[in-house]
Amino acid sequence: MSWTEAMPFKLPRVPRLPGLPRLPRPEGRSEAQIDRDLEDEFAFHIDRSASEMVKDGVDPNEARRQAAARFGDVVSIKRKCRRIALKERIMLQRVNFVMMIVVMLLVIGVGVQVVLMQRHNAMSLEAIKAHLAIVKSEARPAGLPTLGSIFSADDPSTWIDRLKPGTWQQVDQNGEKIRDGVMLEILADSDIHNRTTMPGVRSTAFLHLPDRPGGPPVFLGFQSNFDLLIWNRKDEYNPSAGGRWTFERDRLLIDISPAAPLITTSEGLYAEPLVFEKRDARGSSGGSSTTNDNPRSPGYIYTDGSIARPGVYGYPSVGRLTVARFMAASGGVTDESKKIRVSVTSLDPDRNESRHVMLSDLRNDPSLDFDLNPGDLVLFEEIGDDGKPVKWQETKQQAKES
Amino acid sequence: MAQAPPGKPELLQGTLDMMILKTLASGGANHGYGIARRIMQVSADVLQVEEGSLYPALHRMEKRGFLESEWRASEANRRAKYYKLTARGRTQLKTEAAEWERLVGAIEKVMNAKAAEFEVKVS
Repeated sequence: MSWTEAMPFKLPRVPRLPGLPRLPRPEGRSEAQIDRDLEDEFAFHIDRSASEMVKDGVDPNEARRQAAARFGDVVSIKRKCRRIALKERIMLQRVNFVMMIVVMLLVIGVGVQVVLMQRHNAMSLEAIKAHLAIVKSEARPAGLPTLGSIFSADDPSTWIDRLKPGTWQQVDQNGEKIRDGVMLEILADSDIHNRTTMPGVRSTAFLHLPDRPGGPPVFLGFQSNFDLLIWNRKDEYNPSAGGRWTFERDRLLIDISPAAPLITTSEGLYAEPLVFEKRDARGSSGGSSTTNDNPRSPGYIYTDGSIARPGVYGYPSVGRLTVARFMAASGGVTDESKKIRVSVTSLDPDRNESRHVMLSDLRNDPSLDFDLNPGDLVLFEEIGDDGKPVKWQETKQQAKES
Repeated sequence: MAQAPPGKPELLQGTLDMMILKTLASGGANHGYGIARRIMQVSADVLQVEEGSLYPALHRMEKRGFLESEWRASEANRRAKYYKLTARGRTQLKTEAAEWERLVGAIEKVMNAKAAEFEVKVS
């Protein structure tokens, strides 16, 4: 049995490529047929040789023996002839075998190369990520948490709580105070009266600069993706023109877009990021103690709703300020025929109280009038037939629909 | 190649193919035994072709296209393999015969040369 027959698989035929010279045609007979033909050919020779000797008078058996002896080593001659007959086939089989090994090595090589490339890419990616992490950590002071770890869009309390305390001061990039008594307070759109927030609900903040007393308040919407919305109480706002906000240490950075028209002032406040600090965050440093001895007393009254001149009013340094006086000072209600309720909510987290009085009751009974405190928000709410604020109802309905 | 018996000169290297071609060209198709017999007869029993050389030579020349073969019945009605010359074999015979003539002529010259012709001439 030849080595090709002993192989456990059949070698594929090599197709002839067009244009190439024709290779020597391999023997078409099977190896068994070749063996049979050789044996027949040699047997004929020996038989004829013996027949000639028999004709010359030699005993047939002796003639047969002598003829075989004269012929020589049949096995050796057969092996020589067989090798000649199968020369091309053996050569092609060897070529096929070598080509198959080469193809297998190529496939294995390509596979190994792909695996190595993937590992290399993965390692490169990890290296890039690690490098980026280093760059990020170097870009921010050590020990500072990243924005993503502090603030979660799913849990507004993670960032709203940091905005909530009422009195901030504006500082420059070096921490030097620019303005004191900046009011910043978070209120949820969905329930402005209870000052609660709901997950995913946009929250708003009042921002008032003290050197613009009586000016229209600017409302900022701090969104959990750090987009900043700016609008006035006429609900005029351009969401895309707000800007960005973020925290840096204990500072609130508000980068107002130059395209935000509602906050444009002659000072060009939008030119650089507005930086605010909680006054209680710096203690006595930074000069906060020189401007206000009681950081929890904002010193302002905020008003909104069906009032002629909504906005921010300085709390009088002497005397009492009651609801009736404040209503008169702010121009009175816009429509006397409407059913109006006055809701007073303290923005001071320590007080956290709300009081209500119907305007009609207040006019009929002056004893129902009560004092306002610094930091109160006074809303003149129009009440519907069901006894609930009209605007509150609309907001609630919108929340349900969304 | 086995040692030739006494009185039976050994075939020169490469002459067996030429004699096979010549035998088939002159006597027509024949089987291996017939070719060997014919060479022996024509050489007056001087040249005896060994089967150990004859059959590999026949198969090799068939592979190279000088011969072609077919199986047919012999005179004794036995199945035998007959070889015959191809056109390519005929051309090959002419080439080998010319080379043989040239070789024999050269050998003859050497053998017939006089002693003076072997003296070294120094210029």
